Amino acid sequence: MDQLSKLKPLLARVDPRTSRAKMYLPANFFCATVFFELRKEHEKDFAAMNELVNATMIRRFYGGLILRAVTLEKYNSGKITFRNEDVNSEPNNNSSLSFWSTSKCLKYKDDQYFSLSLTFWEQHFSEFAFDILALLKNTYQPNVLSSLYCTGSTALENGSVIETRYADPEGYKRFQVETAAILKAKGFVGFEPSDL
Amino acid sequence: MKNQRQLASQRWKQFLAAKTRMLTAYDLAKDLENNKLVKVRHGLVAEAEFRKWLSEFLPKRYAVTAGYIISPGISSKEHMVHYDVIVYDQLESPVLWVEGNPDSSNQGQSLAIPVEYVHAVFEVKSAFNGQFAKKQWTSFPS
Repeated sequence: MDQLSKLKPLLARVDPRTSRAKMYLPANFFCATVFFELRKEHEKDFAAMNELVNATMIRRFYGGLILRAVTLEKYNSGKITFRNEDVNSEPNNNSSLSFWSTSKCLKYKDDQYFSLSLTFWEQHFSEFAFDILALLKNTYQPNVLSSLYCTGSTALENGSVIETRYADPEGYKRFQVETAAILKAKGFVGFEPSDL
Repeated sequence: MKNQRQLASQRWKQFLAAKTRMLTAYDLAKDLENNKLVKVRHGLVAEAEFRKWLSEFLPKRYAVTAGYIISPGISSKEHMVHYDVIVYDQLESPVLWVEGNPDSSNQGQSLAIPVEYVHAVFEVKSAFNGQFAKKQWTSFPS
């Protein structure tokens, strides 16, 4: 990520609002990566995730998109997602980059670690597009759908999965509370709304 | 609205046509340079196709270009960095200069944009693998 690493001097700080001479990128600036394909010969190249995780140290690095994996159906795209966790998790590099993987963690500060995850799904191209729009409009929230437009997949259409990341964060919270209540009524214990 | 939790919205496959179009152009470029020793064209096509899609998708307030981010805080002795994809505020930003290419359309021009009007930068690569970033990150502080 040659170009993104060279943004560093422009991200060192944010200009005061009153400053007439602007020298730095705006506070809501973001950056991301786009790859056109994951080739078959690179499906086990987990070093790629551990290299790219360095980009999480750039202010407002979103993650990225892989337009296709050559071994998957044509509608699938890969979404590289930024993760901020309080534990130093081991990378998931047992299967294939075209299935599901996570990078090693980088320690940002005490009990705060940055890492990346990569998943493939038919809906990821749409999610990426509308995440960009939300980032530009300052309405982006991680783990929440940025828009309901053009979100869909074969699995959603045939009913084998449901989408829980509502575009409306309040709606998503209601879903968590309702689902926790249903689970409790059915005798399951220990599920808090925030777990769902 | 029936079954609001089932969010497979209409026309999701039509939206993916843009992705198919980008990949088709990319595959064609790869095929055309199949026997060449140095293969750079498909990477340039990838950048151009992504810029084209993004500029069609985003509201017209935002423009998409390749080019340079100009800051008065950066010494003129330092090399300018060329970025694949810059998203900037088209309504407010001046364009400091245009670096044209006699063989390319306006879409292929590089523009110089003042730093405060730049909203986003994307780096576009052909293939996802462990080689793309190794050198570049060795000097980047964690």
